[in-house]
Amino acid sequence: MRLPDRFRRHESDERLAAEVERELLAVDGALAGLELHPDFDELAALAVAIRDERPAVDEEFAALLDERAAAGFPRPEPNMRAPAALTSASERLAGLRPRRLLALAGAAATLLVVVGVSISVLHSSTNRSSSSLVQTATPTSTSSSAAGGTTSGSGGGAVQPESLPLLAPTAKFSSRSANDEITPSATSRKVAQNATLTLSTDPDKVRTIASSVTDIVAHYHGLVISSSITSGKGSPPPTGPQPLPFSTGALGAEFQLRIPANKLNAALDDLSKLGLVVSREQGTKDITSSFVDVRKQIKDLEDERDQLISQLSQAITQEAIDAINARLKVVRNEIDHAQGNLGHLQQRVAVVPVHVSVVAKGSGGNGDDGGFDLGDAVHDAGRVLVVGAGVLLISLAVIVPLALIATLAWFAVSRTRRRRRERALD
Amino acid sequence: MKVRGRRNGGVEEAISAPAQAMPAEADVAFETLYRSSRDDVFGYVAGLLRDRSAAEDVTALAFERAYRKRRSFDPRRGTHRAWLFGIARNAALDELRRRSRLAELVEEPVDDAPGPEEGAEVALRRAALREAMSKLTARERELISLKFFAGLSNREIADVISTSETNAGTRLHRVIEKLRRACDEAA
Repeated sequence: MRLPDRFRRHESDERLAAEVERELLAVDGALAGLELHPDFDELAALAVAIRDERPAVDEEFAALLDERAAAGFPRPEPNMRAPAALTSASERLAGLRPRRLLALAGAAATLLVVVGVSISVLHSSTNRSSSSLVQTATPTSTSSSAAGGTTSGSGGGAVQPESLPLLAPTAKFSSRSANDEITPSATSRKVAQNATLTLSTDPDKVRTIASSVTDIVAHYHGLVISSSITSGKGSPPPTGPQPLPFSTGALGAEFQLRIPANKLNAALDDLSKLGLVVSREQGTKDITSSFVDVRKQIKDLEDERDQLISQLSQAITQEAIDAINARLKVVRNEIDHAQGNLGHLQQRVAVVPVHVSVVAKGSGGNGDDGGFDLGDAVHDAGRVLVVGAGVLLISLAVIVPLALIATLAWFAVSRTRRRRRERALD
Repeated sequence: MKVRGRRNGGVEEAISAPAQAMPAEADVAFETLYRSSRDDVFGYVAGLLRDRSAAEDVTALAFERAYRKRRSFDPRRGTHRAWLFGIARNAALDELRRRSRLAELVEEPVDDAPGPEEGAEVALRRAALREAMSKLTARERELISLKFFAGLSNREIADVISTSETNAGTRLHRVIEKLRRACDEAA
């Protein structure tokens, strides 16, 4: 029953008048052939007379209709364009209850949205992976005990920063460079990169790999900022000039490197070949605006300096000369400072900080040895649940408004159609 | 440990015969409905349209639609007959709309000639009744057709025209009264 009809029925819930009810019962009785009270003779005669006016079915038509009914009402003109399967499917759909049809449509829409959202989520995940490449190592059951101390800085496989070729410093800039175009549109984009590489290897190869790391860095004219090699559990914390947060006692090595930006990928590829790559991540950050700001600052300061020099040549009193000289000193200091900042920024673009971790298999350290344990399983299960819930939430956010709109449209269409039909009786 | 023997041991040939397809419940119900309602549906549609040819088309269309939708019948929403007449009503109203768009409804002439066995008084009353019925509006004609030609109960009529049983009864009584007065005046 349609909803508006229910309301309408409640509206006129008054009872029939007794007289009306009796006469209607009499009509029913007369049509059923019952014997009625003489008071209703006239009404009964009228009822029977009206019934006798019923148009009779033509026998030929009745036979034809019976034949069609027996054959399951075949369509008189089969649609040659539509395949039989399509026709059958449309008939099945037409035969479904509206609620079932709605449920089916809802389920199909839900499935469609869920698939769409899933594809979208996977696509965005893939895009993220392209900028942050992560490779998972194959599980391994190899384990090994380690003993010994920790070497850091100059000890063991660590390499003295002085022993590697340094990049040419670019701390000083001429006033001409500061006067260059400083708008972002005219300046090439300045991008600062960083990279992290985690390798897994056998415990007895950690030192060899550490040595190879320094060789590769030297080959690409990079710099080892700090390094540490931990030989096993219970070892003392590293004692280097710049100790790394690597004091878990696990066998492995850590390096903070600087690699020229134009040789980063080649260097990472070579480093990746040293062991089993557990993870490799590369990130970028656009620092063009910082460049522009610093250059503008330098230009302003240099303008001020030139003005001060001009004022100095025209100064007469000693007091004025002293004041201008004092201000000139401050401005020159600020110019030096700003040029230093610009040098740092340029170096940040030209040289990429790279963090390399070497983890011994089965050492139980903070590095992932590639094994798959219960914790990993729980983590993965949680991740799956979170992603599933997210997909469901997004799907609901799409489906609920659509369902509301569809329901309202369905009500509006059915009401309009009904009103039009009813108007045919007016 | 006792080993159980195979349950199909000694079976050399399995004989299987295809089971005869049993008609679905909906098919059986529809067949019953068709047999009991064919003439009633035609009577209702013909009474409403007052055109036998169009009534035949609409009746066939109504049964065809009902057959296609036979599995969608929900007994909680009314009787099988009320459901069928609802479909027939929609088809009849669509036909009425179509005809009103095309041209004025051409009503079939009513055969006023008395039957050989009818007396003069009966013939007069019948003529008066036909005259009165021809003056009914479409809505009134529909109620009369549903009640007297299709034989629906007041409850079923209410379901078909989507109103309350009380309202349907009141409206029906009003039409009967109208015919009654017309016949009395003619007498």
